[in-house]
Parts: sequence; structure tokens; C-alpha cells
Amino acid sequence: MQGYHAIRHAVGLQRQTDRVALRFEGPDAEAWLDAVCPAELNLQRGQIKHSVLLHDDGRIFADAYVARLGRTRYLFARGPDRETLCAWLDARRPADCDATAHDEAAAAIALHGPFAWELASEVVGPDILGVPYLGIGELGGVRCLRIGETGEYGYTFLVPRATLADFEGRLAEHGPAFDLEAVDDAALAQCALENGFLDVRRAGVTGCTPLELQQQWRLSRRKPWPGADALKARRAAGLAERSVTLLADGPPIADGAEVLLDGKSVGRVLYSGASPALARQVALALVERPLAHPTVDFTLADGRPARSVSPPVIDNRSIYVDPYRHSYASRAEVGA
Amino acid sequence: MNDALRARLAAREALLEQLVEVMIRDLDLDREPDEIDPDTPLFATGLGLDSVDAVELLVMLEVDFGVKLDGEAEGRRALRTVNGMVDLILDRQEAA
Amino acid sequence: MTETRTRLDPRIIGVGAVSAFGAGRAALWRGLAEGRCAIGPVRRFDTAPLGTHIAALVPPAVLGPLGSTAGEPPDKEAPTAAAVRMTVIAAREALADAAVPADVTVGLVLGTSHLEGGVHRLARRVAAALELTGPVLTVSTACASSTSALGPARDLLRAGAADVVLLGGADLLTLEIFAGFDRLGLLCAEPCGPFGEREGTTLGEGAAFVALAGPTQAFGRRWGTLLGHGTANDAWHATTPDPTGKGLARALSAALSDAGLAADDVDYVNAHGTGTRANDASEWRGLQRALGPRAEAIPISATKSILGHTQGAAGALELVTTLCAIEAGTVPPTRNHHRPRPHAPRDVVSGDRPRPHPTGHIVSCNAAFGGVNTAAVIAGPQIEPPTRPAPRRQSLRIAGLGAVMPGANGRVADLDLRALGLPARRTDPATGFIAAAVQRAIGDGEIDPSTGLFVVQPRLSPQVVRAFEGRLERGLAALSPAIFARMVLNAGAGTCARLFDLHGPTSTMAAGAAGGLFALVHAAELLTHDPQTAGMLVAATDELPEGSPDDDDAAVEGGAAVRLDRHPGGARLLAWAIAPPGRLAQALADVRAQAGPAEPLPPRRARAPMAPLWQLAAAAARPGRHIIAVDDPVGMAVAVIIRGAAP
Repeated sequence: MQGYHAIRHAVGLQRQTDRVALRFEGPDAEAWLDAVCPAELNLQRGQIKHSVLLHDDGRIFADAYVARLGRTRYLFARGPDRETLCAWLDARRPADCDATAHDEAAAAIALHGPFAWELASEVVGPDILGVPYLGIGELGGVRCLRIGETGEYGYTFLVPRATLADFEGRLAEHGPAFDLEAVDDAALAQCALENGFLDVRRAGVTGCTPLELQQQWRLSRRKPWPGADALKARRAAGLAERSVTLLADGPPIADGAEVLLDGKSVGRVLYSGASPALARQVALALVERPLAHPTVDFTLADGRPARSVSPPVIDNRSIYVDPYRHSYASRAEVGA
Repeated sequence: MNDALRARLAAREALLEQLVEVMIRDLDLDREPDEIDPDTPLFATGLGLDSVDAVELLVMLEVDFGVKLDGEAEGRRALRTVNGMVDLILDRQEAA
Repeated sequence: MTETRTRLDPRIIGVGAVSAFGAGRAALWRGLAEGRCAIGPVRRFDTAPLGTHIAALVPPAVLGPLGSTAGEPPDKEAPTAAAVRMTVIAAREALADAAVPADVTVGLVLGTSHLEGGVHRLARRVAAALELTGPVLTVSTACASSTSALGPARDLLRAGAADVVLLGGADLLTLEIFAGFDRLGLLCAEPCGPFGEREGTTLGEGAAFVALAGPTQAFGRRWGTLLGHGTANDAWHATTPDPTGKGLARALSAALSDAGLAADDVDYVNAHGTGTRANDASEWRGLQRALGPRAEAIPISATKSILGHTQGAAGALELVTTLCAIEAGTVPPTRNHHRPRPHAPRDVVSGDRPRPHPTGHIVSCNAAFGGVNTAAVIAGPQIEPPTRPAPRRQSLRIAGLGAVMPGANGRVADLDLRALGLPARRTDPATGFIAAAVQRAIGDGEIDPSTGLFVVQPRLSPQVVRAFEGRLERGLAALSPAIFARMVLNAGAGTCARLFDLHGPTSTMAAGAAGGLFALVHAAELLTHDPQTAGMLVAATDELPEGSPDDDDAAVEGGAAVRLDRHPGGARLLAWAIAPPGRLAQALADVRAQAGPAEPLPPRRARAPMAPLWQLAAAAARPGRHIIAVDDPVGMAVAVIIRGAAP
């Protein structure tokens, strides 16, 4: 894991290659996305919405952000590769849909951390502070998306290849004053886990639907979408299991590890990770629905205690950092 | 599950139900109660609330649940998910 | 229309004020000069359930009976009566100061967020008390109301609809308003200290007026000249200002360019300076953006630290305060400013007493909920105002029209905002009507972000008022901050600005039948004078309360929107004119003189401001010239000539 502490205390730099980025043009661009995304889009200018893509049987297929800038719509999807995703989208394209999808050619560079906003304003100008959370805007030829995935301030920049060298030059120039460090996917995944943000790339998630993973906020009940019927049936049948976040001490926890209560198996760990901030293990588990609450003292198969908690499990630094008052240079003044 | 745990979880379910109902009412949420999962994030993503809703939540906690928050940071920490608010209310009830 | 005319820049020929220091500008100036603070404990109502207990209140002797005596039910009329009383005192003082002769036509443009009792009742009652014969208009953009009102006031003078316009603001502090700000967490426990360590604002109340007149009037004093006025919408958030300060910067830059001045001509800024963290930081960024290095070199003060935040009255009261200080060769102080906050102006006029400072050109800024930013540029009494040619009026293209029509019972049946791609959560019907109408007026075309929006709406959305009252029934502490934030008339304009990226001029007026056409004239005048604004949208709406009788065929709800720009072709707005109420013939003669003979369309019975715009929309699709005209006995007479074009 590289760059975890930079994300939690300073600024981490990510060259985003873990997502397929598609640009949709044409009058029905949003209609196409609206047909495949379970989330209610109704995108307003400069707005980003968080969705998910589902198999027809309701299992999660991809994590998705959709965005509207001017007339263009974007889809940023994590999970499937480009070919799989495009084939899936084409197969679900509404009839008579006047829209085209294109690969986004710009490089995606992301900054994460409690002072990401400050470095971002050095690099693209202070107007970045006017981009609201889950907003997209264009500053000096760079498209800026404000998406938090770590519980800290987060910005993704879509930088045209022609100006990439210049952009990276500015990052290199201003980065050192913020102890900017490259971060890897493992560090980002750990931060997401600590904040209760679902990571669809983990093998344990493959068989799950949004219902047990507490992702119903990404589902609209006003429109049809792939997987809607399957989830409706599943909801009607009653939910047997639901996700909880667990904290435990000791060595890493294996995916699939059993979760017990009073010696009886009541669930399993989907995935887990060691938190450098807490010096503890954090796990996402599925347990029997009546037990799926925080503050329950479970045990793991190896006998060690694991307590369920409400995510986020850490106190993100960004909660205390106020762009009106603070700066990285005087970070000692930020209260706890 | 022992009786103490069963009683504790039942109390938690009841509080969750009450909280979600009040949130739908006071925040004008276009959601059914069973669509709001307890770990749902409150702001921007999740329920999509904004800073005006944040003050609305503070008023709701004070008026409907007798919980007054000290300072901004405590609010931002507690008001991250529905479950976070339940934890806060239960903590305060225990402390009282 | 071909001869070169001189541009009318209104002279300030009289001032008057009622503040927490008492009645009269002398009391105001005395309080300031003696270094006193008008903020104190609130005794008028019980603030015990709330977190804040101070405000700057007008002395009871000035307001008359207000608080309910023990055991008696509160008098619902008392707040309006008290508001009328203090407003009349301030307006009368300004008229007397200007020595306005009895036979001149005096109009009234009032900025206020006090909207109880129907269509701009406060302004109507003040006009009646002063026996004014000119046009009457209420402008309501929350805390920027009276600075927003400068634009319409100037247009009335330019249109020759009044010889003198009383321009001012008035707001009484009620328990509901106090509780709303408290619940939003915007109040400071101690008297506020803008730009300093203390965060949060302190509320106040008052009324202030300036009497404005063209340069040819032979009476009045010489307080200053309104050279420039600018407004802009953040199009960012309902209550929080855009942290980049872009909106304020656009408003101020527009005001400077309207004044024909550069940043280096500005000698002093009277800031909005509420004291809240978000406002002060954003305002300073905006001042820096618009004024550049000049912002660091000139004194800036925020008198809310002395007089409280008087909401709709703030702009006018701060203008009068500034003019009084300048008359004494000083600028007003900012109290409670001990240690500056990060990102605060370099030269805040701190301390208790006015600071001697030679001031030529003044900038006064105000901002408000709904993303409103306003700025005025005023030449002080020492400056001889320039004579400038008036821009030539050109016909304007009616670039788009939109309507949300009621059914036979006067009501709009289900308007499905989601189906229109508009957000539905917390969108009240009135806002939905204008949003849908504006969306139709924009059509498929992209819109230039310099485009502005003027809205006319006679009353707050009854649905919002009902929701607000419903929450109040559960106790003061249960007051909903989110609903309170929508208890400003300009909430709908703010929503539309955000939805459609309308960063240009912004205003909301409370008016009846003539309001829609007046807003159209206001927009046409703006496009005539301001080349930076690519186009304007004008929208009107009204929402009927539940249970209002269906058999009143003058009662209608719905929305209308008109989009104007300078492009050639299409249906066109050829001429426009305004006259005092009851003098429609004068307005008709005026438009015919501009554009030639045409016959007015038959008048409609509807009292709603969108009705004439619906009429205009129908006429715009029929080739030929048409007059649309309205005479509102409690507002003004307006007439326009359009040339229709087959769609």
C-alpha cells in the first residue's frame, strides 16, 4: 500500500487507470444513460450522480458516475473492462436513440486528501473552490470533477493529452509544498473501505445485489432498469442478509472468513483490509439481517472478537479543514 | 442471540424506523422508509443532502430527539450516515 | 428618437432613515459619530428557545405598540402597522430633505422582504400615507432588496413616469425571521464583527430612503449621484454565496462599467459584510476580483456591526449611513473588528468612530439568499457628475417564449417537473411554474451565461408559507431552516439561475397586473444600457392558495417567460413606456410616438402579472404590430409595442 498517509493528512496523487471513461454526445445521450443506470439521473448542469450498473439478475456489475457538462454526458465506470462495458451498453441502448458513445481521450489525474483543494487551486486556479461536491466544471481547458472516494477532499482532472505535460509540470512545481505523494489502488481501496464506500472490484462482492450491500440509494423506483425485476422479487421475498462493517485486531482477515455469534455461524466476510490509521483490521461482512446493526460483538472463525460499527470508521481530517480558514502550511492549527 | 442483545437491537430498529420517518417528513425525501438503508451516506452522494439540510438535521435532532451538538465538527462527524445519527442519539440517551 | 439625448443619472436630493438609533438621519449620524453600538438584548419577543438573544431594534417609541401585552393574543396587524409607521417616517424625511414641491409626481420603489398581507401591501400603504401619485413597486431580493431596487427606480425616472422616486428599504425584525436566522446557524452570540474573529451576523431593522431625481429638477440637496448599478446571480447555491466571489465581482464590474469608471476611481467600499464566514470570505474574493490591487488600497467598512443586518433595508440604510459620514468628511467604522480573519480585507475601517477620509466615488455592495449580488457606484457630493449621451434604443428580438397555462378553473393541473428534467424535491409550485416557463423560453438553444433573469411574483408560494407555519406550530425551535430559506420571494429566481446557468442580472419584484410588463421594460432598458449582457429572461408567476374560490375568474396561477436579445429577425419588442397608475393614455401616447400607430389588444381581467405576458406570447405569433398595455391602479401603467412574426 502506497500513499495512505498522504491521503489522510496531505495530498495523494493518482493517475486514474481503474475506470472506463466514456463521453456521450447527441440529444438522447442522457436517455441512453438513464435507461441503463438504476439511479434517477435527471442531471442538472454541472452535476455528477453516483450510480451502479447491474446484471439482469440484480447482481452488481459496475460502480458508475454519470456527469453532465454542457450538452455532453460522461460515464465513469469501474468494474468491467472497456470492451465488456461497451458491449453491455450497446445491448441496452434504447431503440431510436440519437446518441453516440466515445472513449474519453483525456488523461485522468486525481488528487485526494484534506488539502487537495489547496493544491488544486494552485494548479488550476482558485475557482476550483466553486466546484461543489459531485460537481463538474471546466477551468482553463481542464475538466474538473469533485468526487470524494476516500472520505477526504477529492478532485479528478480530465487533462487533454496536448496539455498534459504542462499540467504535470505544475503539479511537480507545487506538489512538494504539500508533500504530494503518488498513491496506489490499495491505499485508495483501504480509504474507501474505512468510509463504507463500496468497492465493486473485490471478489466477494460479485454475487451481491444493492439490497444486501445497502446501496438502495442508487436505485430509482420511478423507472425500469436492468435488474429491476430481479431486485423487486428479491425485496418481496425478504432480505436474509445485510452488510455490516467490522473492526478486529490481529492479522489480516481472509475473504470469506466466517462470522459467528455465540459460536453459531451468522455470516461471512466479503473483504477486508488493515487500517494504518487505526492499526486494526476493517472488514465488510454479510450477516443475518436481524443482526446487521452496529455495536454487535461477533467473533471470527479464529476466535478473535470483531465488533460491528457504523462506517466511516475513522475521523477524516477533511471534516476539520475549512478552505476559508486553513492551509497546508499552517496545518498545525487545524483542530481535532 | 441472547435476550439483552435482542432487546438492544429491537430498540435500535425502533429508533432507526423513527429517525427515517422523521427524515422523510422534515427533509422532504422522495423515498419509502425501506429504501433508506442505515449505512446510507447523507450528503451529496447517498441521500444527496446539502448544507441547508445539514442545519435541518441539527434542528431535527434537537427538537425530535433532544440531542444538541457541540460545534460544527461534532455535527459533521455524527451526520455522515443514518446509522451515525442513531449511534449519537443512543450515546446521548445512555449518558443521560 | 434620433437626436442625441443625455443619459439620466439620478441625483440623490434627499435622505431619511429610521434605525436602531431612533427616527431620523440626525439620530443615526449622532450614534455613529459618538461611537455607540445600537445592538442590545432583544426584549420585544422571547428568544429563550433560541441560541441568540441580541439584535439592533428600533426604539419602541418610534414603532408604536408591537409586542403583545400579557394575556392578550398578539395583534396580527401590528407588525405591518409598525413597519408602515417607520417606513413613512423615513420616506417623509427624505421628501422633506429634498424639499419636493407638492405638484411633482413622486414614485416609490421599496426594497423589502416584508410581504405579509398580499401584493406589496407595505409599499401601497406607504404610498397612500404620503399621497404619492407616481408608480409604486416592491422589489424583494431578501437582504439585497433595496440595492436591487436602484435599477427599477432609475428606470422610472428615465421613462419619465415620475419626477422624483423615493427609493428605499424597510424591514421589521419579527420573531420568525430572528428564529429562522438562528436556526440556520448564521447568528453571532455577541454583536457581530465582520471580517474579524467573531463569526456570524447580528440582525437589525429599520427603514431608509433616498429621494432620486433627474439633473434638471430645481429643488433638493446635493448628496450624490447614482452613476452605476449592477446585479448578478451566483447560480451556485440557495443560501451559501459562491466562495470564488465571481457573482459579486460580476455585479460590481457591471456597476463600474455602467458608471464609466475604472477600479482605480473607487475611493471607498461599504461592504455587505454580514459577519458570516461564508459571506465575508466570498465578498472579499469578489472585491479583489473586481477591483484588483485597488481593493487593498482603499478603506472598507461594514456597518452591520453597529446597526445590525436590517435585511431588505440594509442597502438603503448603508447608503444613507455612508452619505452622512461623507458629508462629515469621514467613512463609517466597523466595530468589533479586532483581529482579522484569514482572507479578510487589508484595510477594514476598524474602531468605534468614523475615520476621516476624502471620498469621491463610493461602492456599496449587498448580497442575499438566492445567489443575489448587487453593487451601486455613487459619486459623492464633491464630484461633478459627467454628462453622457444616452444609448439609442433599438428594438429587441423576442427570442423565446414559454408559458405554463392554467385550466378553466384558473389552476395548473399536475406539472410534472421530473418529466421536464427539472428537480422536484423542495420545488414549490410557483418556482416550478417559472422554471418550466423559462425552460420553454430557452428551448433547445444553449444560453450565454451572461444572460440574466428578472422575476415577478406577487406573493410567496402559499405552499411554502403553509409548510413554514406547519413547522412553527411545533414550536419556535422546530422552525425549518430549509423552508425558511425559501421564505424569500427571490428563491425561485435563484433556483432558475442555478438550473439554467443564468449568471447575469437578477431581480425579483412583487407586483400585480403591471409587474410582468414592467419587468420586460426593465430588461429592455438593461439591454439598451449594458452591452455585456447577451440577453435577458423575464418570468412572471403566481400560485393560488388552496381553497381560494374557483369562481373568481380573475384569479389564475401559472407561469410566463419571455427571452429578449439583440439579434436581428424574429418577433420584436419595438417600444416601451411607463406612466403613473391611472394614466395609461400617457403610456400609450408615448409608445405610439416611438413606434407609430397601433391598437391595444383588449385588456384582460386577470390581476396576475403573467397574464399580459401570455397575451404578448399569443400576439408575437401574429404578424403586424400590437400594443400590450396594463394599468394597475396600485402599481403603474405600462405599454409596449411588439411586432409579431409567424413562428
